[in-house]
Amino acid sequence: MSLIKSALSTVLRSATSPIAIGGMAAVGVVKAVQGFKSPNAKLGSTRNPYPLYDGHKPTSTPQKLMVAAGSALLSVSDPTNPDHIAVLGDITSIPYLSRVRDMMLRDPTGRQILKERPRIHFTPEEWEGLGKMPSNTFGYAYYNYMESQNISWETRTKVQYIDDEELAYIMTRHREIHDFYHTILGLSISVSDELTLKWFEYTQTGLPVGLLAGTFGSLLLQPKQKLAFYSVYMPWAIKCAKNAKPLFNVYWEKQWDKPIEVLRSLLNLAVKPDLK
Amino acid sequence: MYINKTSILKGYHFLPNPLYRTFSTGGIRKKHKLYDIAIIGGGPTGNAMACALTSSPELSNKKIALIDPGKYDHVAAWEPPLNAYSNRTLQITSSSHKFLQGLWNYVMQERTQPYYRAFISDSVEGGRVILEPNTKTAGPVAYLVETKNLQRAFVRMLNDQKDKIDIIDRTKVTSISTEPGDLDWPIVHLSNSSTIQARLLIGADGYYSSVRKYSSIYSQTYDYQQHGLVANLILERTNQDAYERFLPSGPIALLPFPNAQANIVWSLTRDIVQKLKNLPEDLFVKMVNAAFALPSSDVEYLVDLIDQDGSCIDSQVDVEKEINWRWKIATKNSTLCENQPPRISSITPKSRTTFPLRMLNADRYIGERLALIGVSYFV
Repeated sequence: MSLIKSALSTVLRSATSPIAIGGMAAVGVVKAVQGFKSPNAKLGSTRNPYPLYDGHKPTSTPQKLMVAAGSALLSVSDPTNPDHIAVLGDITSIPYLSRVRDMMLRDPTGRQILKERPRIHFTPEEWEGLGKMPSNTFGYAYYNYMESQNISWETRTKVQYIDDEELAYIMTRHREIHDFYHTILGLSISVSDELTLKWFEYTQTGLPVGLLAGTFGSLLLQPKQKLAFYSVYMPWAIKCAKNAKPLFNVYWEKQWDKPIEVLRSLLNLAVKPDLK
Repeated sequence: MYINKTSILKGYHFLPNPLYRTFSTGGIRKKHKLYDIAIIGGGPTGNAMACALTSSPELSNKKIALIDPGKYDHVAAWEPPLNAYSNRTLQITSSSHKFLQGLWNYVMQERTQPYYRAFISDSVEGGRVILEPNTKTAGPVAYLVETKNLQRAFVRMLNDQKDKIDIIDRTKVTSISTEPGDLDWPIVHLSNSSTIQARLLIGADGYYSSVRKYSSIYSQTYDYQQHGLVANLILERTNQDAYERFLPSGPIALLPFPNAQANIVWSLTRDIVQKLKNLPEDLFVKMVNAAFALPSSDVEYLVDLIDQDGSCIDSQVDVEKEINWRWKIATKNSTLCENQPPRISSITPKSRTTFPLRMLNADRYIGERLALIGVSYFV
C-alpha cells in the first residue's frame, strides 16, 4: 500500500511542473489563435483592429512571431508552396521595409510610384499586345520570358501581416516586379538562377527574405552547381546589384517599348555571366 | 578726481605702490586712467560679470570699468515689439538663473518662458527621449529669454550701481599694450583717444577678442561648415516644452515663448540654409512642420526641391502638395514623429536670420593680468 502511495507521490511531484508549464503554454497558444478572430479589438486598443487594406490581417507582435515560426517550418517541409515563404517574407520584412520606403522617397520616380501605386495587371488584349511588340523591346522580352517559363503574372500571394498600408504596397510591389528582374537580368526559374536573384534582391533592398532564401536555398543545389553558384553567380549578383540603380525606383510599366539593351545600360545592369 | 586713493590701495600698501608713484612723480609718466578691473565687451557675459563684480561685497572697494562700443542708453530704453518676440534668444539654465537672481527683478518676466521638459527625437531610427526633472517639486530646467530683454535688465541694474562702475560705452578698443617700466598692468587704448590701465583685464569681447590677441594665448578654431537658422513662429496652441529633432543635415530645436509663440534654431549646411532663408514665409512654416514630423528621407527630398533663391527647382513639383501628401500617408499609418511640437501656424514676418556655427577654444583662459570669459575663449 505504502509502495503504491510513494510511487504515486513521486509521479505527481515530478510531473506537476511540466504539466503546469505545458498547460500555461497551451492556454497562451489558444489565446493567441483565438486572437485572430478579433485581434486587440477591445475598446481603447491603440492598434487599429480593422483591416487597413484589402487582405490585411491585423495582428499583435506575438501572433506575428508565431505565424513566422509556423510558416518557416511549413516552408521547409513543403518548399514548393510559395504561400509559406510569402508569409515568412511578409513578417521578416516589417523592420526593414521602411528603409525601402526611404530609398523610394529620396527618388522622384520612387515617389511617383508611391503616389500612384501602380499594380501589375494585364487584360488578355494587353498581354497579347506585348507579344506583338518588336523583339528587341523590354515588353516583348518580358512576354517571351513569361510564356517560355510558362508562368503568369497573376500568381501572387497577397500581403497580409504588415500593419502599414504604404509598406504593404511596397511589399506587394516587391513581389510584382520580381519577374521584371528575371527578364532584365536574363535569369530563368531554375533553382540556381532564382537564388542568384534572391541575392541580388537582398543586396538592393535589404529585405531578409532574400538572404534567408539565398542561404538556405543553396543547400538544395548539387555540389557542381554549388561551386558555380558560390564562385561566380552569387558574387556577380552582389556586385551587379551594388552598381545598378535601385530597381525599386523604376517605373516598369513605362518601359515596355524601350529596347532592353538600352534599359540595361540606363540602369547600369549586366546580364548573368555565361559559363559555357 | 576719479580715484579714491584709500579704497583702491587698501590692502596693497605693502607692495611697491605704482599708483602712489604715478602721482608723486607727477607729469613724468604719461597718465592713464587706472582701474582695478576693466571688462572689455558688454555682451551678456561681460554685463553679467560687471553685475556680479559690482554686487559682490568683497569687491566693493575696487574700481571697475566696462568698455563697449554699443549705446547703453538705447539698450536700457529698448521697447519690445507688441505681440512678437525678438529672434535672438538665450537659454538661461536653472543654475545660471540662480546666479542671475538679483538681475531677474529687472527682466521683463512676462516675456520669458520657463520650461520643464524637453522632447528629443531622432528622425532616422525613430529613437526618442523626454528629458524632465525627476521630482515634481524641481523648478524649471531653463528659461527662454530674448537677448535684448536680458541686456536691458543688465544695463538697468548697472545704472543703479553707477557709483561702483564706470561704463564707457560708444567706445571701441583700438589696441592693448604694456609699457616698459615698473607698472606692468595692460594699457587699453580707446577710440575716444583716452587710455586706461587695469590691474586685471577681463576679455568678454567675443570671437574676435582683442584681449585674447593681446594675450597671445593660442586658440584652436574649427568651422563646422554649418549655419544656424533662427526664426520666431506662432503655434496653433500654447506650449511650455522644448523640442529637438535630429535630422541628418543637423538638429532642429523649438524653444517656447509665452502666448503660443516659439523660437526655432535649425542647424544646416551653408547651401541649405540659404534655400530655407529665401523660401516664401508660408512655405517655410510648412517646411518646419515637416522637419519636426516627417521621416528624414522626406525632409531631405523636400529641401532638394528648393533652389538657392527660395523658388522651386522643378516647376512640375509642388512642394506644398508633396508635404500634404506625405502628411496624409504618415497620419494614416501613424509614422509621424511622436515627439513633435504643436503645429506651427505662421511665422513672425522677417524674423529669419542666420549665423555661422564655429568652434573656438583658447589654450588657457587666464594670462598675465587678464582673464577670458564667454565667447572670447570658448564657443
